Amino acid sequence: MARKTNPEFMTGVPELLVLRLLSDREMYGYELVQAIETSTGEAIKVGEGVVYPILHALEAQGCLASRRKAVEGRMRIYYSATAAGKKRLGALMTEWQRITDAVATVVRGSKHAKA
Amino acid sequence: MQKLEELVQFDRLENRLLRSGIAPRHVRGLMSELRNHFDDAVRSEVAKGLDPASAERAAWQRLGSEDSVVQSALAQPQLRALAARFPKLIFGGGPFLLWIGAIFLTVAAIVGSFDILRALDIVTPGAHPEPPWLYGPAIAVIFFYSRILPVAIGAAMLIAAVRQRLSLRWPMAGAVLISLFAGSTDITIKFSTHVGEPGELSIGNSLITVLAPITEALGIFKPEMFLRGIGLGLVNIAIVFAAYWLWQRYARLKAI
Repeated sequence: MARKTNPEFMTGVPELLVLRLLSDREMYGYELVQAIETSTGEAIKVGEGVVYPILHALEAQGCLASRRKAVEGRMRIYYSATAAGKKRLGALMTEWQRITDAVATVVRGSKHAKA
Repeated sequence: MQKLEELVQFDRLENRLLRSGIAPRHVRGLMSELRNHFDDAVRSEVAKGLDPASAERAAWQRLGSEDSVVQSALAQPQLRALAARFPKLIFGGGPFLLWIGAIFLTVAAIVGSFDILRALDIVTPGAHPEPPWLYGPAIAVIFFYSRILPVAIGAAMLIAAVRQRLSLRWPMAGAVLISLFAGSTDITIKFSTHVGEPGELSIGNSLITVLAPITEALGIFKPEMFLRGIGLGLVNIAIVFAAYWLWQRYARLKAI
């Protein structure tokens, strides 16, 4: 059985995180998964295998570029964000900000209601 | 060396991805990266102090369930194979349309070439009969379109469907359709033998004579042509399925 993950509220989040992290530097899949966990303080946990379909889809959309690189005798596929990927990241971040602001407004409102 | 259990688990995931309609090239890429990821995860768990068996169990857990990987792939429309989305169109009608398209493109290319040669004054219509060396290439073109191309398209569609783990119903229907139609199609090239006589390129299909009452009335009913067309079509079908059978044998041997 897979470890506990938090699929609720996760729609679009892995894509956002992947583009954000890969716009800083190129990474291979395993490295990227570790970076997601580290950068979110392990608050976001996804089955590590689910990242690969997202990487392939973003590459098919032209948002990511990949290159093969032999490291310690093993073939790694490194991904990096393209110009189109960075543009998409901007749009996703704006959308994310809009949602978090809306949720924050509701949460603040309910706190005020209690007070 | 991969363990049997590991092989079985990856094999099962690969089959599920293919059956779900994910394009084979994406499945190959995903599986290769997932295997690498699994190896990295095992090494990481061993480095943390786990024994190899526990490290493998932990690595499987980290990868997530089969369902989660398949769901993640299905959520990405870009990864879906065209053949899985439109099997009737791709496998049922695709071979036939591809073959017809190839014939029309070739005819257009031949006619276009002659137009260019005429425009450049290299060829003057009706000025001379075609040279004898044109007979060989002409026979090769006819053989290619009536035997090689339909068989290759039919077999390729069957193989593509198997690789995609799709039902063979539509690919078989497509292969039978193209085999019968190609077998019963007559492509004739008649060369001019003397100056002033025009050459002729004609394409006809003997299956049309199945509409016997109409063709009889028109005086073009030729049962021998119809039977010949059916016979040649059946030969095409036999070659398609023989090629498919050979490929399956090869694939099985390769898998052992």
